[in-house]
Amino acid sequence: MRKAQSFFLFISAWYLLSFLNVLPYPHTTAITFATLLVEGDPVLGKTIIEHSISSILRVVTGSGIAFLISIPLGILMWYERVYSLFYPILEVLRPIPPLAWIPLSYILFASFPNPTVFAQIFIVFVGAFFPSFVTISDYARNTPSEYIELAEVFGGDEMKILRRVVIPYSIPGIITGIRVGLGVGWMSIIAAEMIATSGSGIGYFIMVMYEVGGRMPEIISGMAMIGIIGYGMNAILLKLEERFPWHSKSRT
Amino acid sequence: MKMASGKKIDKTIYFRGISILLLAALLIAASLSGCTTKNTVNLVKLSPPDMLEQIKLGKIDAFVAWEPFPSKAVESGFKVFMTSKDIWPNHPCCVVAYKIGKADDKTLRALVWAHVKATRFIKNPENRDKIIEYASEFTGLDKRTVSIALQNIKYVEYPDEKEFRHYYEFLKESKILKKSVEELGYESEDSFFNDFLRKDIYQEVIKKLDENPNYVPEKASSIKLGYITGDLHHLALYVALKEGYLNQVFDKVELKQFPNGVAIMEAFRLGELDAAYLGGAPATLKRINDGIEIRIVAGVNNEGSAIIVMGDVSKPEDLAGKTVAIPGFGTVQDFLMRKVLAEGGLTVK
Amino acid sequence: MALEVKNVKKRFGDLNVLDGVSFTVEDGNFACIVGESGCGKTTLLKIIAGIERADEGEIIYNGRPVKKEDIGYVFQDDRLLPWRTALGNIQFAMEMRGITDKEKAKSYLELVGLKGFESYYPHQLSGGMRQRVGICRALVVNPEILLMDEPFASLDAQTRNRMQMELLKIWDRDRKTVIFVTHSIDEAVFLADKIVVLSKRPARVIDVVDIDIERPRDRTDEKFISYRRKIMRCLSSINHAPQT
Repeated sequence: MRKAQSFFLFISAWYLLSFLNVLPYPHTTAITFATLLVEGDPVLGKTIIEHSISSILRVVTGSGIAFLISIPLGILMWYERVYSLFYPILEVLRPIPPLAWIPLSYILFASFPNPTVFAQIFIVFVGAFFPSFVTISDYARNTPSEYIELAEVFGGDEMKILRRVVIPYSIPGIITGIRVGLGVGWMSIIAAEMIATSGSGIGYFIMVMYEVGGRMPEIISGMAMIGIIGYGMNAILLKLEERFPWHSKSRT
Repeated sequence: MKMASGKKIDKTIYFRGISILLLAALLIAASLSGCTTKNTVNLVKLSPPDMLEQIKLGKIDAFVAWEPFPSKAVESGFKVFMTSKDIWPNHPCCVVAYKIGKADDKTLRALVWAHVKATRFIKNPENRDKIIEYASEFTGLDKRTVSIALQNIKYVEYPDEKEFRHYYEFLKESKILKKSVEELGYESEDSFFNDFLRKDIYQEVIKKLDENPNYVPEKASSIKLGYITGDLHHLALYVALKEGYLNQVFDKVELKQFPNGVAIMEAFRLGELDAAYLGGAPATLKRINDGIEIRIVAGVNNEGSAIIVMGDVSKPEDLAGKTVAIPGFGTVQDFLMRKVLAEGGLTVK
Repeated sequence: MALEVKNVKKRFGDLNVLDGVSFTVEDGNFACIVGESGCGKTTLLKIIAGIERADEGEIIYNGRPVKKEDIGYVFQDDRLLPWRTALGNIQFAMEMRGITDKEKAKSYLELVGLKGFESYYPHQLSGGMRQRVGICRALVVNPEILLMDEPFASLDAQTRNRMQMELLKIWDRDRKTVIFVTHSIDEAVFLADKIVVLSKRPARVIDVVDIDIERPRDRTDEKFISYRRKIMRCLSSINHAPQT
């Protein structure tokens, strides 16, 4: 019921802004959106689905690589030695937003076969790595001392504790990390696509629509698509997280 | 006791984890393997400075851009495949436009006069050395490059209306235009162009100049004038400033630099500018698509773009399967490139 | 053959927890340690288990220092791993010692009456069942000594009584040495062969009482009540004595 009210409020506000000539009408936009789903726009010739797939592929690749590193590294942060070695470096790198890496990454990857794509994947990597790493390492480091004590009482060594206690305990953290990482990665790719051209991708689509002009419904459709995909990714992983009985809800 | 709802958690987790990793690996492969086919060309949008970088690195095989970028590429050892003059003689390029309601006839007369004086100064062979120096100062390039580039630019006082219509037809055919001129409230395309390309001020100014070469219009108070940073096409503005033409007819000239024509059009929309030097393409596109109310009062240059290629391209057909860069969709350069591709029987992927 | 706790001292910074605790538990005996909450009983148990180090003193089993392999431990909270099933939790203890014997784990679950609950997760089990899994986990590694840290404290009275009887039944099968920490005098008298009474912090042994009642014990029995009274007096006397 609340949801319906919220939707109604949103649409009314939109219609109001349309009457004031600020935005195109919701129904016009909806028609444009529906058309873009099946038919490419005349400028770029690709459907919004194709653009989404390009963006998603880049996000999944970039964040996939990020997770391949952030998951083991985050877990290893449980070892005090590893933590004290890596944490200071990562703490300095972490506040640098993914967008700030854009110019550097375009230079770094200039000599690669497909520099724009590599640079964009790298930006997603940076975007996805830090939030997932922080979440996972936070989880691993907060493995309850009771469980470690339990393992010790039965004679478990560090390796066994890591494998049988820290890793399984951190699985919900890993999923949260993936969820948060994908979210930031998704925002990063849109920004990266807007800054450098890539031939496809939702961010690129929106930017070209803006440059050519007269395409506010297309621009809003692109934004809606970003929202839908971002929401979908988040919702799926959130569902997965809830399946773990020891998942503490206070973490984000 | 609660009944089991998620008994197999352990296995599910590992299965999901593994499948996510597998998917990631698969997608790395997929996203990096861009395939090209015969008779199609991969068209990418790049900013002209990026075009230079990327052609040097071999990432693109050809590009089309305005001067001085082609001349810079020539300096680096690339060759001009076709100049825009070869492809489309007398094609329109940059123009002087004003925001309707932001400049009265007195202001426009002063502006057009300064522009015409400067353009005539540029075209006078006696001023050649001075012009090269001005061009070098304005763009920050060495004199050798600018002198090559200047040869490819045809500075004009007013654009060729027929060719302007030709460009408009291209925009219409390729469905880049979102609105028709009728939707903007014009009876026909003719009446739109009569309004959009405002020639009376120009005609009045040159008539006065013909009668009296020392004619100076009545001084206007002030003007906010926009232009694109270091764009050699906009040299007339710099000359008008350096030779004092603008100061002769304005109490105050406020200059604003922009990175591109789209940004200038946005500034027009927000009322931040009275008039500006900008490309005819963004002017037309945003005039029609976004209804930003401007008129063109003078031409700046015709031609002045070129297609640059890597060594092994000698005819349009050779571009098959290659990657070519344009500065933006719906630009004059886009049109130039598509004309060449069509000649070679190539389609854009 | 006995477990000897010899003059164990432990401080945490300024906090003096154990001040020379000594007692002996004969092999196969069921010993209870009673004392007020927070008197250091758990610390003592951890020292015996070898996961906490004593500042002074030693734990001797059969003439040699006690080893981790000698110990089975039951925690006050059930301390089951939430990501493992009942069976998985029992196997966990075995895995820590490098053993994998699923059948044995299953048979032990049966022993504590949890046949059929192998694949249940802790959150699907009742408190009593969880504690049974905890006991089972401690027994499955064949310890010589079973350390139990107030295992029934969080259970309701009825379940608690039932669990006590079941514990005695299991204990009776192979008569391990048991050290059972509790602050319930009733529980201690019901279970123990011998009760070690600890003072308030810093803890010292104030009395060792042998309980000489036939099992099964009757809580309403004269003798039972007199033992209870004796220990209660013992505890309250020291609690009102001035601190040194």
